[in-house]
Amino acid sequence: MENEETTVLKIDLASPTPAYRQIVDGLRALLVHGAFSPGDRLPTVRQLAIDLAVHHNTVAQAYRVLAEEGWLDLRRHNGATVIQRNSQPASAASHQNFSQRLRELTAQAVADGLDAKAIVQQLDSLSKELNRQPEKET
Amino acid sequence: MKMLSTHWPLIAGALLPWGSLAAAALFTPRLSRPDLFFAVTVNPSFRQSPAGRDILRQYDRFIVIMALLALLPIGCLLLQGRLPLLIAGLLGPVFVELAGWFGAFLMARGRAKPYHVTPTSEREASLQPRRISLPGGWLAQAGPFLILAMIFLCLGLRWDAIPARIPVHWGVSGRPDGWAAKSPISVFGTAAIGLLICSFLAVLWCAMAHGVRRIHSAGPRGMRETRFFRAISFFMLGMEYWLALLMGLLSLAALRPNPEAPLPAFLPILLGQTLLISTIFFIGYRAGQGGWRWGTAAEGQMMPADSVVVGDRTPDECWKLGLFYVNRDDPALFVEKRFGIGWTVNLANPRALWFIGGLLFFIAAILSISLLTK
Repeated sequence: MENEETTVLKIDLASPTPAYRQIVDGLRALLVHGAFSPGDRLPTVRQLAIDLAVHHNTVAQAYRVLAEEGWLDLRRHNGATVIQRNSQPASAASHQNFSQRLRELTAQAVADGLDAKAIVQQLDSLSKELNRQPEKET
Repeated sequence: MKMLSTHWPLIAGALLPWGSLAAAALFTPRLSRPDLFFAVTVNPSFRQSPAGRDILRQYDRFIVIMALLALLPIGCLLLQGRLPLLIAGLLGPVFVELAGWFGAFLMARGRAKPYHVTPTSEREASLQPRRISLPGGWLAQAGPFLILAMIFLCLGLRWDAIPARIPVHWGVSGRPDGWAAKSPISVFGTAAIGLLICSFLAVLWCAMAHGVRRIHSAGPRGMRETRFFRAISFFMLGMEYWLALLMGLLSLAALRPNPEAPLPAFLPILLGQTLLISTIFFIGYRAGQGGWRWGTAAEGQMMPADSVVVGDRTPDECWKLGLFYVNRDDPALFVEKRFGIGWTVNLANPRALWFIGGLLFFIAAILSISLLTK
């Protein structure tokens, strides 16, 4: 049982967001931010399920979603491997979906008391962070 | 005085478990993680509060009283030796202490329950595949099995030199008090028992290395957990060596030129057991459950009272009597004990049946060999 300074995934079992969705979102964020390189192995479904105290199917479902998105390669007895992702040009529906979700999120943030300046700063910082990422997706 | 000098091995054999149990009972609540108090999730500062101190004081008093009461049956050993008195003298103290320990624990747990707090619902996991490194490497792991293999080989090669009647049991004075006719089971049985126990320990270690839940996956706390696991792994390996040597040497007694002569084994066995018990006490005292005490020792301060109580990432309501973990929704087979050092089995996990079945199989196999040897 090894322990290095390692990338950690956190979920909240009391959150209204389903656990599998939290795993997908958390892992995707790490993948987008370049925490893994192609060829890196992720923990097995069983291992991640044990540490997160969720059912194996929950982790398996999260891995399947990420595999369908092109982030992971799932092979029996070989666990999940990060792969070079060939991104597709975003469809009009994806653009619309993103725009809609961003609007909803911003509205929620305003409702929670964040002022417009803070939201703009966050978006600006996120934009700079995304621009700094090495172009892994070809 | 004369009685003491003649019965000292028996008394030492009774006092070792008596002292170990009393010390374990007094130490154990102090080794639990700071946010677990008698298997109840509490605020880390609760232990130092007047209510926490009072619960611990009452528990300590109860343990000391029961330990003193447990000394009474040891007196049976001084009375000239009937078997029931011998059994009462050796096992009586253990039963009295265990019953007292359990009672004291339940009382303290009952008093701690009103101070229960809900731990965080956050869970974390390392995203690096768990790499299992064998403590000491393959050669060190193979050592106990190599020792026993050499014993088997030696007994097999010198089969003709083994007498028709061999000792299979010895009294505390080292004089043989159980004999068996020469047969494969009587000659190889003791070493086979050693092999079974070593195999069980090796399989158990492997299952734990793959199946133990990590409470902290990263940072200093995660490092301490890893170090703690390694310390326990080395202790288990030490136990395998001890058992392999003990069972191997007892097997070789069949080759002694004068089997009637006393076997000078009592003192080495007593010393070996004392060493093993001292080692686990040392690990427990220095590390605490999951290695949390290493941090405080290094930092020279008490564990900071977290704003978020982490606990052991298991729900309180799934701990039956504070000792047995039963949670159908938890995929972990092994979780940290809430009271004590090491890990326990999630009894609701379907694989727990395999584990318990395997354990019973090993016990049955060992008992069968013991009975067939006689």
